[in-house]
Amino acid sequence: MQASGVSRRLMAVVLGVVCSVAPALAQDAAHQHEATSPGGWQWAVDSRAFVGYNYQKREFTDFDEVESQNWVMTALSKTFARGSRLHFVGMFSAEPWTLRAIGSPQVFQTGETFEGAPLVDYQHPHDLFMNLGGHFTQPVGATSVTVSAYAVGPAPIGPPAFMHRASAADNPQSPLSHHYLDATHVTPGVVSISVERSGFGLEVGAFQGLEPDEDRLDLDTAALDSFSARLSWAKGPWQFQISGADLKTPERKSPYDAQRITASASYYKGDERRSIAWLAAFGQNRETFGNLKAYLFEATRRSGHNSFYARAESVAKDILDAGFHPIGSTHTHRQSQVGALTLGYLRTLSSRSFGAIGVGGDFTGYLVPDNLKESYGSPLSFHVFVRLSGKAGIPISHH
Amino acid sequence: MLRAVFLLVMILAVGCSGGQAATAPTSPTSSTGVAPVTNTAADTPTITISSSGMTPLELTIRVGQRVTFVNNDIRAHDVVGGIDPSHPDCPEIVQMGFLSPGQRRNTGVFTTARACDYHDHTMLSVPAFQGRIIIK
Repeated sequence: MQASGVSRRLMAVVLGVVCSVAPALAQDAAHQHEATSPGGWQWAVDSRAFVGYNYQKREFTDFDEVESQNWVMTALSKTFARGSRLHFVGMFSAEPWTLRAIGSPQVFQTGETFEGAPLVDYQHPHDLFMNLGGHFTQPVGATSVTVSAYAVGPAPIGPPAFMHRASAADNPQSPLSHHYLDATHVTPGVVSISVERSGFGLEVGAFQGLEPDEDRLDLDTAALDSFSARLSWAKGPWQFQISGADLKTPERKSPYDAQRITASASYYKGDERRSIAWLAAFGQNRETFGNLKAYLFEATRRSGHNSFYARAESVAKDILDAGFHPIGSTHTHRQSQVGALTLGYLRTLSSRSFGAIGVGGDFTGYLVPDNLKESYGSPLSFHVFVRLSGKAGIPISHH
Repeated sequence: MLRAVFLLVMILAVGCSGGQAATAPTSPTSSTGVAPVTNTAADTPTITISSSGMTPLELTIRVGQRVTFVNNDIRAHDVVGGIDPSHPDCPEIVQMGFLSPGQRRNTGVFTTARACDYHDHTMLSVPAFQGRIIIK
């Protein structure tokens, strides 16, 4: 189901607004607290939409797009007498309609496919169903044990997905390292168990390793053939995690398995009006065709109605060999270490208890390695956007 | 004041976007408006790449000529000699490789009379992206 031209742009605006005026949860996962007192069912909704203009200056052909990145997260939970808690999550995105089917133009972005071909220079739209499932937490003394099951959900690997991070909350772009760190936040089929005590957490999970297909409206189903583990520690404003995953044929263009390792440190301090948040992360995809590393640093500083954000990345991409590889084709890919630096600003125009509206913009410059200079030259990109956010109900953790 | 500037930028940007997700690369030039140096003389046979495939799929040229590939699609393509990755062939085509949207590049000079198959590495097994150059 696709739209194009003026109708698609109008749809982007309308759906983006609809997504965000829906009542919603707290804006930043980093400072949300879970309801712990026993009682009836509690609910919450959280949403965010960027509606804006994306311009990409390229070597041969420039790209521009009016588009919207957006999501709505709903939660329903109940806390029982002994502190155990049942929690359901549904997270949805209108991006199948507010982005083109090929995705949002973004220089050097890779991951997933379009019309059977690997996506290069586009960020794929997220599926309509981004999360659908729940978890049950049982305290055992000072330890809590959580069992999770999702038809679509986050596999326990990597830092929180970019859209849930306080350090990236005001930035409409996906990181170029998305498929090295947190792309499994929308994994079709996940079961996991976690144990947490004194800030230390250990999670293990089984999930479908294959990335989502191109049908953005369906629920993908397949065997839980991949595994991951994450060790985390949180104290005060600090969060740390290391994680690894064994991924069964994660890419639709390759018949080979892969491994992913990640490590990250993050910091968040403040409240909705005044805060500082940053994340430093490393990710590596270990593939038959070579090991691809990614380094990410991002930060957001909020002060009153002003928010400044930045993101710096250095990511090894195998764009020059990003084709299909039948079994037996195992040559080493040529790698291109690309760099990107984004600087952005968001001005909140109005903020109420049920949501906020702001306008912003950002600019990204790129470091282009020698082996891509002929095809890419010196690309630049900028965004100007309206950001809408909404919240209602009790604050509930995104995870 | 700052608020007014941002609103103005938003209005201008939305109003001037032209409604295209990507500017159709109908006239590929570099960002400076100068044709890339790899362009060839006007009589060089040309194969155009679009979202629907290569045109023409079969091209006949003379010994001693090159072929220009032009990517008029909104996505990158990767032109490789041989019928598939397991059968690399025709080094004149192998040197083509990655083509950004709007980019054009020449093959090497074909010095031998023969038939050269080629394929798009990103669109494997799609017949519209598998072609042949016949050198006579």
